[in-house]
Amino acid sequence: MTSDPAPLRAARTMRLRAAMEQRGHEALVLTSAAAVRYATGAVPLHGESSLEASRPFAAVVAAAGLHVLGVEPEFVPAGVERHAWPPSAERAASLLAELVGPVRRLGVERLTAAVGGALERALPGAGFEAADAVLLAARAVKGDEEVMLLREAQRASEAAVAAVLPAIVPGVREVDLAGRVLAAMAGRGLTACHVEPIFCVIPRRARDAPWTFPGGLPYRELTGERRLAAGDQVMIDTGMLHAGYMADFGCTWPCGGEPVSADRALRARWQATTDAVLAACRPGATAADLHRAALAANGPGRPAPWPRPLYLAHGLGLGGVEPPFVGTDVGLEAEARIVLERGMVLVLEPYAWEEDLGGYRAEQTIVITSHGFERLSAPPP
Amino acid sequence: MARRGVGAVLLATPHLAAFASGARRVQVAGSGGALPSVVIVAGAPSAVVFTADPDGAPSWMPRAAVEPLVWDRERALCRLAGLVGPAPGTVACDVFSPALREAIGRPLVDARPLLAEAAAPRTADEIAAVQSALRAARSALRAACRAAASVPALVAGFAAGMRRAGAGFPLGEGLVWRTGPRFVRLPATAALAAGEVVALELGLYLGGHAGVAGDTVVVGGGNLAAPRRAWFAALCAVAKRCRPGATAADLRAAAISAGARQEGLLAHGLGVGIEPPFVDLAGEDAEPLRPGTVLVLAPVVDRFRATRALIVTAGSPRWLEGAP
Repeated sequence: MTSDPAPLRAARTMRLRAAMEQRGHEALVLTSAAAVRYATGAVPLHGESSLEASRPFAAVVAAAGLHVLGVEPEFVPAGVERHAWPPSAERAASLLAELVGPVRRLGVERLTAAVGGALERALPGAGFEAADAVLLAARAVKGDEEVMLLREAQRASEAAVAAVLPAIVPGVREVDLAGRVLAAMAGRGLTACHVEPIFCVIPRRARDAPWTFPGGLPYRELTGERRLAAGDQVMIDTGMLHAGYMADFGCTWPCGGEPVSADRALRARWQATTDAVLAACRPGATAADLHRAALAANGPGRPAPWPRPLYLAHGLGLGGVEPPFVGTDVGLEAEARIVLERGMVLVLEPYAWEEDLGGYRAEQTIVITSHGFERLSAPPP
Repeated sequence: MARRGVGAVLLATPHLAAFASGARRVQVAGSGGALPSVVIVAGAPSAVVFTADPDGAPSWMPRAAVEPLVWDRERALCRLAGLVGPAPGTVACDVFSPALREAIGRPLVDARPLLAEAAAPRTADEIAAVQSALRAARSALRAACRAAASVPALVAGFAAGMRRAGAGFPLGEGLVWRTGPRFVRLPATAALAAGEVVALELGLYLGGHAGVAGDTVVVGGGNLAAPRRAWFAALCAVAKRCRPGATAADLRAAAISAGARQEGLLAHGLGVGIEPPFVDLAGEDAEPLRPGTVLVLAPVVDRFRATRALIVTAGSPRWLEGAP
């Protein structure tokens, strides 16, 4: 696939333009690979931030049309005007300004200080705002074809992780497993890695865990050189892209494959929290409802069942993790304004922790349907 | 910072934030954007890092300097303004952010030239770390080439090589081009035919430093000795110019006179990721090379492209990889 199919592109562009109109943005300058792809169907090379800095690209969504800069012609669909990335920040800004045209409100994603400053000088009458709100409004609700791609991504990821589970044995390093899962993913056609694969031993006692912020649960998510020992609980979290759409796979697996009673108890608690949150997942429910359901299931007086400052749940779509987030520091009042709609895709990832037993984290991906939700991910292994 | 009269630096781009703070994984998925995750104030004992992974901060960093990632945008802006408020001089930032500028009530200057200057003088440990990453990438690339039946198979072979080297994160999805009069990047799903000549470049992170390796191969095996010799001559011609004070224009001139043509970058820096200078045949960069800059050279001659890394020293450049 060198660019996205026309119906998928058309549906996404229409949603984006509707969101722009609703928020009064006359044009957008987009610089993340996901937003460029969402708006235009063009496919920039996927990489981390330094790779992107060395091969800059952008999209302009203007009243007059769609433009892509810095993406090879084979990866830009017909109907989208393609431009080379100019050889200096001043020239890049000048081209962007020309493509944007005379506007009063312009939404921009992350630009380098040099390009952004030059663009501001080139468009003296324009008000610059973050494009995030418009992008979120358009991207939060997925079409059927997008949900299908997310499901495919999830299935391939689950199969790849399943192939690696037998390798979780004593003596293996965490980082070995990360490399192994990348190879297994690529073998299934998933070559774009969104986040560093996490294979981390979760300590069973707080004193064995790395330091964390006050009020936070003991936790680890930085894959390292640590060698596994029999009975270790290994938390797995990995995200790969399929046709740009991300699978987010998470589970906790005992080293050697045989869970002990502590592992089963933690998993049961994770399941109870997840079930309580799922019971609240339906159109019209708010992020605050999900937040409260998790707290209630976890029992009074216990810390929130997710690592701080992460989240209980997040959205998922083109390019990776995205809002809405549930359980962050934005608080319940703000979460009460985030309303679930049919077509929203959520990943629920509570964390069960108990001193001496250890920790268990897994993920459940769902799509909100007309009457409730449908699972996109299988139950954790 | 002192030489440029900069009192505070704010960094939002993940690899720049990692370089300046030494912290690992300063941004988690979904938290990226135009708000900085690292703040450096002149005279302060340490950078301040906003992170979800406090254990990723260097052990020497005071815990008070490691703050939880803030998702509430207004609170984040307020905290950033509070941190840079007492800083004298100008405030530098790597990204364009009118909201941040408004929050701190001061103009922002571009932090990237300052960072490029700061990155150039490498310690022996840094050079050794980059060299290890380069070695791992080269070894993984060889493993990938043995599996060259499709682009996914190449990437899988590279990942298997990464595992042997202890590297857990690729730099990107991998570049594979069909060579010819013009290089054509192949999609991630492409199959490769026996006898096809492809150029590839893949990269990885090892110990927080980046390594990249590129080469041109015949799928299923074949002889590319003649084009490799022409490429090698161009490589040496460019390398000879990699001395302090030489500019990108000097490298361009050397490459062109050795028969190189434009396919992506002619050269780029390497360290905690791919770094400036970004040198291509059509660029306008006039910054002189500095001693300590690690450069990955990637001239393209005829239909052959490969990479080799060197370090600019006070005298002749020193290769960081073995000869082809």
